Amino acid sequence: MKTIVGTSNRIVQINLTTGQVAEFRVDADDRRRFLGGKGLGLKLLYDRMDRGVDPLGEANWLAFMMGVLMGTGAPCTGRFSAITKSPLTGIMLHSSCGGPFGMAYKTAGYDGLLISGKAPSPVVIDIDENNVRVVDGTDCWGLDTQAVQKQLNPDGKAGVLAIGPAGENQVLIANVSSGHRFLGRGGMGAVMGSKYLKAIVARGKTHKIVPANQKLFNRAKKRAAGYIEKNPVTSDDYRNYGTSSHVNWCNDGGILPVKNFQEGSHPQADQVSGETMRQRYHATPSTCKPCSIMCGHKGTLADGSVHQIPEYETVGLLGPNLGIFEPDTITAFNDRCGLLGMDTISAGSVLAWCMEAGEKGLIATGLKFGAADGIAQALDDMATRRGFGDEMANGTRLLSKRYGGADFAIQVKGLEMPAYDPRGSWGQGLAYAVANRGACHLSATTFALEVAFGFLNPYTTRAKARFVSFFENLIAAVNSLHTCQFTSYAYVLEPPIVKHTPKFMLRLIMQYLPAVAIMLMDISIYSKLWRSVTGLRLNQWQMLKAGARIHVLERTMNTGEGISRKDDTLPRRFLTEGRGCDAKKRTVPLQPMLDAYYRLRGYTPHGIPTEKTLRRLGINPKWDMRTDPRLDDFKMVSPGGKPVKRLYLSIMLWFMGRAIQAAARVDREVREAFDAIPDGFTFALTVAPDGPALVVGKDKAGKVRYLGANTKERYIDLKLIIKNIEAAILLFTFQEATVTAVARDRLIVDGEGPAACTVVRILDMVEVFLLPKRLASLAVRRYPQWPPSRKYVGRALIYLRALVGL
Amino acid sequence: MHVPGYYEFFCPVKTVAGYHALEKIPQLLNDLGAQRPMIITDKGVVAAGLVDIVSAAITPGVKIGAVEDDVPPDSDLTVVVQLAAVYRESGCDAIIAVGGGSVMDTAKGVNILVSENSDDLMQFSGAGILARPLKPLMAIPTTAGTGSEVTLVAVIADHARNLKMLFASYFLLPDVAVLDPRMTLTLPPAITAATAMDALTHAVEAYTCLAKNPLSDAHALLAIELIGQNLLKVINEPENTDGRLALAVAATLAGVAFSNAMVGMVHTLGHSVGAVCGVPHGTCMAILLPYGLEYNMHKNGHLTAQLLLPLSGARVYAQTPAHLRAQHAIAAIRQLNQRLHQETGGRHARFFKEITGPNGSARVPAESIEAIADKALGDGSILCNPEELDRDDLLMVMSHAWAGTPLDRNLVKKGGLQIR
Repeated sequence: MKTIVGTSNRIVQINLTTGQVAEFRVDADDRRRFLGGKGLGLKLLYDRMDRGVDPLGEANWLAFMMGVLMGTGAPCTGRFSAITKSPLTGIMLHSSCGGPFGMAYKTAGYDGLLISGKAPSPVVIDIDENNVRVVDGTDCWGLDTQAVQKQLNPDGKAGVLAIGPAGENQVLIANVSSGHRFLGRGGMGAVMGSKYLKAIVARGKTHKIVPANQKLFNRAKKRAAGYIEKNPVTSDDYRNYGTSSHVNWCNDGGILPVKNFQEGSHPQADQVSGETMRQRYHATPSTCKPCSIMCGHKGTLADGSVHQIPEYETVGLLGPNLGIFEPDTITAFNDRCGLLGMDTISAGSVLAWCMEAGEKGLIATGLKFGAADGIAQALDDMATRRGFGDEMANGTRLLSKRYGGADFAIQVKGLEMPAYDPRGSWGQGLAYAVANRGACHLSATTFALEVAFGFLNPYTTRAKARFVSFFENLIAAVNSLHTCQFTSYAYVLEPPIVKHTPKFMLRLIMQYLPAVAIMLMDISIYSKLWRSVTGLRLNQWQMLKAGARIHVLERTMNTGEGISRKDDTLPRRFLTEGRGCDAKKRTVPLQPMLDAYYRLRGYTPHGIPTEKTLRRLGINPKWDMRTDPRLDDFKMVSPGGKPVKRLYLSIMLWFMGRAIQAAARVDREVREAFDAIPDGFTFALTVAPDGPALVVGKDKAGKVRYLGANTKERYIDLKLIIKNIEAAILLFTFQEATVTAVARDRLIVDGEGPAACTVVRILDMVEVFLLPKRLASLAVRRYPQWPPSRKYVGRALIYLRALVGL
Repeated sequence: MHVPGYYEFFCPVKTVAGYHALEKIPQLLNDLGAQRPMIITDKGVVAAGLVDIVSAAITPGVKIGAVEDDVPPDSDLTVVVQLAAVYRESGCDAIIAVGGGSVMDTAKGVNILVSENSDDLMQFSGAGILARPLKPLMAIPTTAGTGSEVTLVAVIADHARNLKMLFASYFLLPDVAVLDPRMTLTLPPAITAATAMDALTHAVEAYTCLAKNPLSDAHALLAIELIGQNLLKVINEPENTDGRLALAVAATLAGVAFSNAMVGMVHTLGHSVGAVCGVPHGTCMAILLPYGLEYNMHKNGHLTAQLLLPLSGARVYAQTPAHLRAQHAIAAIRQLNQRLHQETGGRHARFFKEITGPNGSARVPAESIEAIADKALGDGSILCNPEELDRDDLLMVMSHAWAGTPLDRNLVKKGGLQIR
């Protein structure tokens, strides 16, 4: 057995059209700048690919990149990356997989494999330490993913990467399998199928990988393993219940997809949770290798057969999202998708779309929410492109383009959304919108911070942009090292500074000083592992910058394909419709988060990386970065939010609301005016579109109460809407009287006439009480002649009550 | 010229006016992409033979889907629902409303239901609830008064639940208003007088209240001038088609003016008298208009003064000293009422006390004044009146208007806020 110190740095390049095989090495500078794995793969494709190539054509490249850490024995490093241009989205696609192919290829002495061109007939690539051979694969063509692996690797010693029938038929949601793990998303399998490449076989175990700095490596590895053992997510939740341990907390948090993302939670969800399935199937580990988290499981069904237990996304999309809560059924669908070589997330989403489109009368497939009938058949039809399956095979974006129903096609940039509803996790909404490969939960996993750990309030835009961009950088780096993303639970949360800070402090700092929180995070374990293996210098901050470089490079490549702000959005359902489980019917306020995110990222307001950003990260733009030259004629202005004016108005309205309540208790005339209003009546003074507000209501007993600033909590009988914040400032700095604002169409009265007049009269009286005569006479038509006893005593009492809140 | 710091103005209604305007309807419908209109009207209009004139004018080119004359004097929800059903059954694709304010409001209500394909009008009630254009609606007014052919509101009463639903949306504006002198030719003198005074009040209040703006002012001034020059002429010679057309155009101009500039206390009190005592709207307007101007004179006297020119002509305006013009303008309106009273043989009332019901009893008994003032406090138009009005103020104005005595302006409580 030969020894490699650090990395072999050997990358193989195959042109399937010509059969040409070449090998090259990457210089240390690029290795440091792009780390390896995903980063380096992207860089190599960026150098080789022009924009606008057909993802299913000869000019598309496919890269399989082993990271630096693989084979060293560092925890959870059995993972490798694949990069290509996706046929489903038309933009760059990266995928990470834990199957045996990676380790076999790495220990055969290689770091990467680049494939271009197109074979004339089905082929299989066979690689060992000395030879790269392209051999005939006709006899494998047509086999499912397990059969082909069995045929090419009967003794199980090699590592195989193979596509199933879906990939052969260039189904746009086809995946690539290795063992029982997958390069799942974006149609990687269709790219292999388009090249007539059925499988790649790597015969490894001939090389041993040794870190350059063994001492540092041992130290880092020991700490890393310790963190994983201590962290409750990695050592308990995932190890015992797998990723399906998400089901229960997602259900509680209202982010579980139910019936094509209509509901958000369901009382039967526990039937498909990781906890229930562990008990039901007597789960045992079945994971990537090496692994110390061991999230993958297999289990035994009642009939004695052994199956992979479905992961959370599969459970979510093929279970509750179709209205199905029967674990055996979901397991059967999971197996079927696995054998056919099809992405379970996208397949589930396509089925759910068909069900809803059927309900709405757009198509007639016979598929129905809650019914398992016909689903297995539909999956087969999709994989073989038979009948309507030929349309379904193209994903929800193309389906909805053809048949309508784009509002409930749950996809971003063409990629179907995983099983976290962004309406209950607004940061995740931003992450989905801006993720490079489309709706991807792995680009920045803010759902965990918002819903699982409760570090961030899910229902605010505060700090979200910063955490999304931080996690994008971190995870781009993690996927380049390359190690399992789940280690970040342990490596981020277990270091002492996070571990021993009280949770409320963490919450405060993360939400209100996110930049400080990120500065204080210790994630040096990642950079130490990389440094010890390669012997190249790299600290935590350089690693995060490399992550940013990788992320922005991918964005730059996508920009070349026409991606800009218009594509960074969410399905309309999440922007306009509330969830069934949410009485407040909240939706994702995407635009302000997007503005903040672009500013942090150094993109233009159109979402395109600026020259300065590219220069800072050392990326050479290969093409004109403008997606549309006409954009030069328009300067996009993102509103600053006017924080001072908002604050002023919030305070004024807050005080006004309490003063109204006080005046109704203190002054006879105000009370009489309220008597004219029916009990249970509520009115609001609001600033459109989402400015501060005051809500005042009479309860059932006729008592007047200030009900806070939230207009969405209850039905409001009468709304006085000030058209915009500037008009509100005119009104509340007494430059314009209430009636003048009405006359000038700045204050819109929406509600019954009599009540509206009474409310305006009450507001006038309260203003007279609160303000000195000089100001009040600017606000009302006629300053009243009240006896001093009423005015001054009333004023004193109202101020007192309003301040103490009686 | 008064130019406010900010204002909005909107009127997209195509207006087709003049002799043989009705004959243009087939072409107009064609432009709107409609083939099969439904005519909504009331029994009075049918009895006057106006629907026959309309049908005769349009049938050469257009097949009428249905003619419905079931509209009561006060628009009603059940009627709206019934008419919407007729519209759907007869496969109509447009609405022609022939009549006065209540017919127009009913037609607007029907249009909401058939366009939104709903049977629940309530869910569209309120300001700005409608979100998309409705089916083509054509308005042919048969009174020269309400201006409903160019307004964006409709009021429909739900008598079962005893409430009035207000609808306000730009989509409620008719697509076309057709003004043809034949439509108002047979209007009796008393109604001609009352409806014209209604239009005059729209224009005068639009010009003198808080929401006035240069664009509404232009419409208001011309409306006042046309009424000032033509009303008495038409009362004396009912067959004067030029005069009839001028009054119809004036009503439309006044409608454009007030729907963009709002109205004030004359409407506040007028609505309430109508609601409490059932007095026709135009009569209330005619009686109250001078009082509204008197009450507000310390705020808008300079504007009222300008109205003397369109009301009484250049000679009178030039002869009147500037500081007396406002009072003279008010006097001119009182005088107009007096002349109309004489010319209609006493049917045009000058003050509320003299209005009698069919059996000779007083329509507005003195005891009802309190109820009227209470009702008026809740009328939205009170917000755009230049001066504040509390219950005492309303009582004072109302009692003078009841008895027919001029207001004592020294008793009016004067506020400081000016029209800006």
